[in-house]
Amino acid sequence: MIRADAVSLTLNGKAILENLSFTLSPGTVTAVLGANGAGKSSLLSVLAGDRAPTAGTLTWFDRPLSAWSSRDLARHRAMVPQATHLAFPFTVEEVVALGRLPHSRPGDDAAALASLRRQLDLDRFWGRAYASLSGGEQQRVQFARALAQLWYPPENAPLRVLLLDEPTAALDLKHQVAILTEARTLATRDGMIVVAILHDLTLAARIADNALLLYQGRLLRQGPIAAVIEAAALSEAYDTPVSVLRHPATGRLLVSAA
Amino acid sequence: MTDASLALPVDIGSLRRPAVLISLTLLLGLLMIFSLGIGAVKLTPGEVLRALIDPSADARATLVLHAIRLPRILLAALVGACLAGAGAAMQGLFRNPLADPGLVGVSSGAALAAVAAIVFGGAVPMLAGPALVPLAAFMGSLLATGAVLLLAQRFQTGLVRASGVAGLLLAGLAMTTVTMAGVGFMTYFSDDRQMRDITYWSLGSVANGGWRGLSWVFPAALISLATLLYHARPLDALALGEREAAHLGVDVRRLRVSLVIATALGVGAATAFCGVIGFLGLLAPHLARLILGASHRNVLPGAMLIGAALLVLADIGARTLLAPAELPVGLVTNLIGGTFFLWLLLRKRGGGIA
Repeated sequence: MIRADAVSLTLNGKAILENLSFTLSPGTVTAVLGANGAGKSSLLSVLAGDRAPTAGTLTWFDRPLSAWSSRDLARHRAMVPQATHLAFPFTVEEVVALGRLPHSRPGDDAAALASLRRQLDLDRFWGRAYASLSGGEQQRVQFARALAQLWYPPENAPLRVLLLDEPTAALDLKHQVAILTEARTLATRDGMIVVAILHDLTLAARIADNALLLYQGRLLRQGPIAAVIEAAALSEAYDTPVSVLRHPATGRLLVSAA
Repeated sequence: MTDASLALPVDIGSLRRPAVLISLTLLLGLLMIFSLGIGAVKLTPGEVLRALIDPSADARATLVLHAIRLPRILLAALVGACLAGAGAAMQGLFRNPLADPGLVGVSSGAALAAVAAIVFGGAVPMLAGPALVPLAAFMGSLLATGAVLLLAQRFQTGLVRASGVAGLLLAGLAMTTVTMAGVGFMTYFSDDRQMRDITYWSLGSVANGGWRGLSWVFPAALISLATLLYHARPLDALALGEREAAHLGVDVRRLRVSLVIATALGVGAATAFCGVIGFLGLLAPHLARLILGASHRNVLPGAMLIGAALLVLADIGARTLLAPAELPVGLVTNLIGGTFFLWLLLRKRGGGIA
C-alpha cells in the first residue's frame, strides 16, 4: 500500500502540491484527474520518487519512500511516459530489454522478454527499429518496457507500482482502450498498484476504480470513480461546465463539456 | 535528432554481432601487421611476424620495428580507440549522434596548455624538455574538463537554471570559446618558430610519442576504455531520457561525471602526444552503429576497434602518400573522414529509410 500523509511540494517558493492525503491499494487502478497545471505530473513525480515532498510523508509498503534506494525502487516501480523519442536506432527487442536493467538474473530476463512478447502481441515488431513504428506502436513498446521492469516469476512477485503519465495522449481510440485494458488487467490479475494521469474522463470512468481530482495543487475530491466523476466537482475542477450522462445501453458514464 | 542519425536498421541477428566484433579485431591486427612492413625498409607480413615472434632472427627488421614502427603503430591504434570510444560515449551522453568529445572542453583545454607550453616553455629553462608539451596538454585537458563539470554544477542554481546535460553543453561551449581566445592570443604574439610548432601540433601526428609516449598513454587509455565499456548499459538506458534512466535505477549524475572524466583521461592522453586528430570521434561511432545497431554494448567496442583501425590506416596514408615526406595524420583523418562522411550522407539520401 502507498500512503500519503499531508504531502506538500513547494518549488522556488511556489506551492505546487498542498496537503494531499490518500492511500493507494494493491489491485486498484487510480486515475489522477484535473486541469492543466493542477499538479498531476508533479504528483506522479512525487509518487515515483523523482522529487521528495517538501512537507508530509509518503510511505511505500510500510517504509518511507526516502528509505528506498533508487535501485530498489526501480525493481518495484515503473513509469510509462507520454511519448519517448530515441536518438539511436534501437530495435524493439533492445528497448523492451532495457526494462531488465535493475534486475540481475539472466534467466528471468529471457523469460520476461518471451512472456511480454506474447502477452502484448509484439511478434510483428520484435526485430524492427523502434523509430520505424507508429506512435501507438511505440507506446505499446514503452508499455512492454515498463512491464519488463516489473516482471517477476509468478510465484514470487513482490508488490509493484505502475505509473502512467497520460499514456494515451498520442493514441487513437483502439490503442487507448487496448493499453488501459491491459493496465486494468495488471491491477486485477497481478495485484499491481496502477496510477494513471488521464485526460479522457469517459475513459477514466470506464477503467479506474478510484480517482484523485486535483485543483490548483489541492485534492478537490477523491474516492471511488463514480463519486468523483460527477458534474459539480468536474465543472469546478476544469473551470468549465461539464455534464455526466449514463450510456443508455451499457450503463457506463459519459462525460462531456456541457 | 533522429534525422541526423546515419545509422540504418541493418538487419543482423544478435548472434552475428560477436562475429562482427571478432572480424573487426582481426582486421585491426592485419592492418597493423601490414603497416609495420611499410617504410624505407620494406618488410613482408611474414617477415614482420617472424621478427615479432623471434627478435633474434633478423636483427635489422627487429631494430626497425622496435625502435620506430611498433611504438608508433601501437600508439596510433590506442589513440584511435580512445578518440572513437569517447566519441561514442559523448554521443550517448548528449543523446545526439553529432556530439563530439570536444564538447566538454577536453580538446580546447589541451590546445591552450600545449600552446602556452610552446610559447612560454622556452623562457623557463628548468621546464624545457621533450615532455613539457604533452604533459601540459594532458593537464590542460583535465583542468578544462574539470572546470566544465564544476561550472555545469553551478548552472543548476544559476540564472539560466540549465540542468543536467544542457548545463554541461553550455559550460563546455563557454569554456571552449574562452580557451580558444587564449590560444589565438598566444599564437598572435608567438615568433615564427613557435608558430610553426603550434601549427604542427594542431595538425596532429602519431610520429613523436615513441615508447615513452606509449607508456604514458597506455594506462590512461586502459582506464578510459574500461570505464566507458563498463557504462554501456546505463548509456542505453539514457537513450530513453534522463528521467527514464533514473527510473531504471541509473544514477544519472554519477554516470555523467564518470563518462566525462573517462573522456578527459582518454582524449587528453591521446591529444597530449598526438595533437588534435579530428573526425574519428564522430565517424567511428557512426560506422559502428551502421553495422552493429544502437546498443552501446556493441557500439562502444565496435567504435573503439573501428577507430583504432581507421587511425592505423590514416597513418599508413600519412607515411606513404607523399613518401619520403610525411603528412600530419590529422590532415589525413580530416580528408578521408570528411569525404567518407559526405559519401555516407549522400548514399542515405539515395535509398535511405529515414
